[in-house]
Amino acid sequence: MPPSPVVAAHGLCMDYGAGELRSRVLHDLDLRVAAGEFVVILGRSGSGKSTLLHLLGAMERATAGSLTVGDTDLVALDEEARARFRRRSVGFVFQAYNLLPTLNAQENLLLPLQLNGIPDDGRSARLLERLGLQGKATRYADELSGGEQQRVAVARALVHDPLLVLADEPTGNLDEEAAGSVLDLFVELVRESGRTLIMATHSTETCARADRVLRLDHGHLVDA
Amino acid sequence: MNLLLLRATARHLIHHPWQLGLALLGIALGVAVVCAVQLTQASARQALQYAQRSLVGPSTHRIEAAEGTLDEQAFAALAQQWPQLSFMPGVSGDVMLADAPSQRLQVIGVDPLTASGTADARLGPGFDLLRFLDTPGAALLNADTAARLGVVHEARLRVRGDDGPVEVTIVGIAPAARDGGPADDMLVMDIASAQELLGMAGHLGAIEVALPAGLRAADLRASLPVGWRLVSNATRLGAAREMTRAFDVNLTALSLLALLVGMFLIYNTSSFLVLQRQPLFARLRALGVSRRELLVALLSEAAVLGLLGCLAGLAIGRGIAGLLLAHVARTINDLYYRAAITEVATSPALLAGIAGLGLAATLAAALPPMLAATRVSVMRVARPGPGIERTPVHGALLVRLAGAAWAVAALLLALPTRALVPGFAALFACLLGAACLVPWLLTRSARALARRPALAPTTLLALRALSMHGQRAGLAAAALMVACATGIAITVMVASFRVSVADWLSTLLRADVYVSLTTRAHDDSRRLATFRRHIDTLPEVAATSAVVRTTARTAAGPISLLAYDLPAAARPGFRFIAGEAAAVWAAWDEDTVMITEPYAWRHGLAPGDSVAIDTAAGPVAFRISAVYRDYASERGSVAMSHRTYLRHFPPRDDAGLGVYAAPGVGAARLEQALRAAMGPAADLRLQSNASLRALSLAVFDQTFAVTDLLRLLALGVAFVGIVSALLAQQMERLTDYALMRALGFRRDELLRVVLSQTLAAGAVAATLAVPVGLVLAVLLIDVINVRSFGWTMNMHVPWTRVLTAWGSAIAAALLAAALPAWRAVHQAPASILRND
Repeated sequence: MPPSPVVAAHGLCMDYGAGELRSRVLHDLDLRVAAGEFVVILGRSGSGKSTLLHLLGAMERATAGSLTVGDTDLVALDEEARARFRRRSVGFVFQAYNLLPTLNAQENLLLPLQLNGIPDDGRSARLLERLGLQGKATRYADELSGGEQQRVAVARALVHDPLLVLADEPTGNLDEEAAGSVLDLFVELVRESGRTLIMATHSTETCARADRVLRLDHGHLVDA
Repeated sequence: MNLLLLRATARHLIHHPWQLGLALLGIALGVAVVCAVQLTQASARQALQYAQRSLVGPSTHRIEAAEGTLDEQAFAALAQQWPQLSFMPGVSGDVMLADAPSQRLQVIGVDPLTASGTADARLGPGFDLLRFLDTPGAALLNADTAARLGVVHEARLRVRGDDGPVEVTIVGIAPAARDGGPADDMLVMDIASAQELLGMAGHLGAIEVALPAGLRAADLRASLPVGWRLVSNATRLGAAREMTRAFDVNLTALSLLALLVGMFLIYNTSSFLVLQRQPLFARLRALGVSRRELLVALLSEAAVLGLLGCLAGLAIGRGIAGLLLAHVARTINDLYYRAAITEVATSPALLAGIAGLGLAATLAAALPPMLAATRVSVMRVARPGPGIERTPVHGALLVRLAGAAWAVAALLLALPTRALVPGFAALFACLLGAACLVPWLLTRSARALARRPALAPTTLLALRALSMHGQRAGLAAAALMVACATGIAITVMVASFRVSVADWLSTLLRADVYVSLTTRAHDDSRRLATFRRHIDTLPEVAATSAVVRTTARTAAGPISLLAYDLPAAARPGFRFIAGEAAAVWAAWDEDTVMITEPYAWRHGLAPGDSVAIDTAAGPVAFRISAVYRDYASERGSVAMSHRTYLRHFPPRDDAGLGVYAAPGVGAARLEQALRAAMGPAADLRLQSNASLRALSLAVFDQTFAVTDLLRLLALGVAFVGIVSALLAQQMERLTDYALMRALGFRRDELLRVVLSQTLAAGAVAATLAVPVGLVLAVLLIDVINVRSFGWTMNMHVPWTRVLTAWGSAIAAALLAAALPAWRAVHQAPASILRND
């Protein structure tokens, strides 16, 4: 019997707007992602990659279809329940880093732990060290380079051992060298921890490391 | 509570000290004004308590004369009749320091033998009875007064009494009033010395008595000589408090208005802080922070801010109270009761109450923006877009709110009540309704103007900014409108009052010279009557009028009774609000009375009704012939002819005379003739018509000085609010400005954009403030004043001052824009755009 998937979506649709202005961004998506799998989603701008990640990350609710992450039916959750789900089960890495500017690097990592009631057993410091940020724990976002900020964002996404790690163009704002370095560390850490990673990207180099590559074309999911 | 979460939200404030400072200042100023007024009122109440305690000692009741003083021999007979009672006879009166005539002291004469035997606190714990009895002119002061006057133990103090300067010896320094000693500015003396000093030999001011349990006050009352009465101390204290109730309510309302303006400021600052941190909140929400957790963190932050602001406000308020105290003390002493209000009362319970009020106001004002913060879309994380979202004005909602507020105001005004609180509530509702309209009016005007063709780009940008970000500019304008309208309303009310008083004085004061006694000439109880008979024969004198002023009793309590002997020339001085002049004067000597407007208001009386006044022969009903205008006393008076008075009451000396010059005789010559007639005794005070009128108006102006001060404070709070709101608005739009600069706008063009917005907001606020202020003035004049004091007055609009207020509001708005404008034009556009 195959292991139960971490992500199971069936007939997933997402609309924006209302009335005559309504437009469908995702069309009848079926998707299953197994535990520990690294899936890359490719697609042009406006193809619906980010929207799909937002649905998977419980940041938005699908207009139609079913979506289960782990044991949780995301479509059935209200907003506060989705917040609890995000806190517990999702680690998100954004293209624009989105570090909390009022917290330093280490505090950015501590926040997910505290929100989940997980004591910091030194994991935040170890993660920062693994990501080459030793000595920068007390730096604020505006005191870090883009690559450094994104590495902190990666650490923040992993520190509380989420069920699902989502990354939306995580290296889109970085130069090639920095992007390669961040990506290497990111994938390495996810693999080590056995987490499931779904990443939206343009990078073909990333595709080469993925277990599976899916393509989104005008809201329709097709195998790459 | 998650401290890290709190830190994440709060650290923003630490990194933006000017925002933090403005938020704290807004809370502090609002709290400070309330604190100042409350402390001042508490100080007055405390001073009254000290004064009462000093006057009554350890007694429970007081025996006093219905009119004037008590005869000392009659007291001796009473004491013999009640040997089981401990009576404490006393006298009191004012003297001034011989070397500093502006410094008045209240002399209290007590019987030291009785007082020391009853552990009278006025004498202090170390009271030396023998020294007090042995030393001629021995006196005690409390420690605070002694320190202020620079007087030490055994010092000699020169005071001016009835017969010129007299030296008293300070044989003891009693504890301060707060420690149970005599009140401030009080000189405690042996009764005989005090009688001599005050010219009251053979007379007593009052007799204090402690009624033991089991003895009924009614029994003692029944044995008192005719014209004496027994009053419980609790009743007297309550009556004095009641006297200042309207004054207190008016001051409290003004201070709450300042707090209301402060709440605008807090709301505005809070909403800006929320708006600016939207990306932060979105990220927290993306990380799974629940709405409740976010709200708790933000409310905790607001509570800390509120607490700090309140503490600062209490400190500032304590300082302002010191400034207000002198004004309030003078008003209370002029109009209500004698009490030395010299120190600011600071009870921990009162301060805690004010801090609680400030904290509640802060949280209430901050709650709506905080709730909005919890509704920030988590999707802002993914689609940051522009740094700050539009803040449109919900016009329909605001108009509905304004309508609802005005409907509440109308309902409150229609209530069949004379209570002051619903009147003020209606006033506030009216003001809030108008404030709701400001953002709507501002954005509507801006939108309409922006449609005009061929507008300069700077003007168009300014108008578009107002129509798109109207909420913030609208809030600032609303705060400005509230402050400006209140200022105009108070200005119009005070001006109307002043014009009415001046008009009343010019009508009433028809004599050329007025004569009164300088001291209470007990040795010659007919001094003025004798003088009047003498001057009636002078060729310079055409006629004289006289008034007897006394207190009489009615079933509803004591009343101020005036008995006039009026020549024909004096009669037009009475302006009747109800009743026909011809009928009044025709029945003037026939057991009729006229009542003043406040008296009619308080007792619900009109011509045709009657007032039953106790006389020696029992109660007599006097028919009311007219209600006349009078601003002399808010408690009101009853006036009758001198002939009517003599038919029912024992004769008393006149309290004052009015002297009318013969044709061709000027006031100066008349005064000269009167001085010559007075002789060397110089025990009468002569005042010309003009000087008496000027003095009365000076007292009036002094009374309203405190109102002016509070009005300025409210305007100050509003000004800080406008600076805060404009800073917030410009901070929101830094990216827009940076982009404009990047597109090639010159600094002066950018400056024009910023200032045009401010000018428009200021103009809308100031222009709306004029009609709103006038409506509020009508409410103050026709509702608040009538309910507070029973006075009606004609509305007088000092247009120059109204226009000055209008111009000041616009100038304040422009001035408030200076800093934000400077920031806007001096920012580095590249850095702003890069960060965005």
